[in-house]
Amino acid sequence: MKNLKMKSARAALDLSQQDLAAKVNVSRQTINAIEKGDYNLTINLCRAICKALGKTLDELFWEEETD
Amino acid sequence: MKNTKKFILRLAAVAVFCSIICYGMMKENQQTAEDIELQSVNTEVHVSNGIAQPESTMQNILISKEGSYIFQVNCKPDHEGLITGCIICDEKEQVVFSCSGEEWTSGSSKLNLKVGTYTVAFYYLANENAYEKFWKDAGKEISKDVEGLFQDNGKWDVCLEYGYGEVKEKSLEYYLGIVIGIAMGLALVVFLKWIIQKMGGKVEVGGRKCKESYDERQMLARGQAYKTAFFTLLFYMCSVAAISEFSENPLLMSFAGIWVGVCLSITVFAIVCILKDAYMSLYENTKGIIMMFSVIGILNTGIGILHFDAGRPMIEDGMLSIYCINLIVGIMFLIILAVFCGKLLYDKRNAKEEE
Repeated sequence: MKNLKMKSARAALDLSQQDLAAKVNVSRQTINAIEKGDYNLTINLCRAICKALGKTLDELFWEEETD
Repeated sequence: MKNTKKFILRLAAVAVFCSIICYGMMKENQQTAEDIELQSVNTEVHVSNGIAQPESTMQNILISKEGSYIFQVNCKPDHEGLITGCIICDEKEQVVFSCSGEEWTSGSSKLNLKVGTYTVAFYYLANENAYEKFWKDAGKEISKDVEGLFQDNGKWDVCLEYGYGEVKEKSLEYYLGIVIGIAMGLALVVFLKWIIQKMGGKVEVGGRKCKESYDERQMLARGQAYKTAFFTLLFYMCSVAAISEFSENPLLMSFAGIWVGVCLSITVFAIVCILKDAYMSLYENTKGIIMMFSVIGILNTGIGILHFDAGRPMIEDGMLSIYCINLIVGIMFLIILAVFCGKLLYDKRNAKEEE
């Protein structure tokens, strides 16, 4: 499942995938894989991304339930 | 302090590696002789009522220089049923080598021989008593049960071959040359890394720990790649053993053959890593990788072609020779480089969509 919240938070800060990758010390492809929903990241990386984007875990990674 | 410790550890690792190679070469050197020239003798052996006629064939070998030698003796009868034994004695009739069997090819271990005439005696053993006497004369225990192997009557044409070769001990300079060669190889890698860095490329040669160099997704992907490479090597080794065993084709049963397997598994590992974006660490860039692989690939392929051009045998005794190794390694690096460049182009094409 695509992580559009993270993608939009990144875009809001005008950061490229490469910029965010450099901030959280991962490769650009890893950020791409997370946004595309191809990779289940660890809680440590979740926290690092949240800090870099100035968001909470809920705001970026909590899926809202749909009826 | 930490860096000194690291440096000492690396130096120790290189020293151990060099020592293992030198020790292996010295051991190999002790057991092989160059250019054994075989003399052959054909004998017609008649066996009547369990008595062989003639009983033996004697030949002399003159050793004109003291040194280390290896004897080689072969026995090829035209059909089964006759056991032939061989004893090699010095001038004081001390046995230096012995063997027996129906049809055999046998070589001694390295022997330190003095100047003199050595007698090579082939005994035709047509009954159990002759067999027991042969081994008693040889000063050894009977080597195997031969009951039922003898024929009371018959005629055999036996081709006997014998020869010797000097084991040429390699000088200290030779081993020193090997160690310096390895050291030069390592120095070349360091120099190459320095040149690449000067030109704006980033490569890591055994620098940081894997944990620091790759992110968590890359570590997972690399684990998968190691697994695939491991099973590839396992499959390759089993296939080579099976081919050698069942079709008697020893092509890959050599040092170079093992290198083919190693290179194959490294190629599989690298390709899986490249396809999963886990080959390049966080501290490397594409320029560095491309430059490094181009130089290593072209250098090795060039040396391989030079070997081929110089007429060095690519296949020796039906097996891949060591002269193939450079070519194999060169091709491996060029294949990995091609896949790396292909993936780079593919990523560039899709980069805009991904953003």
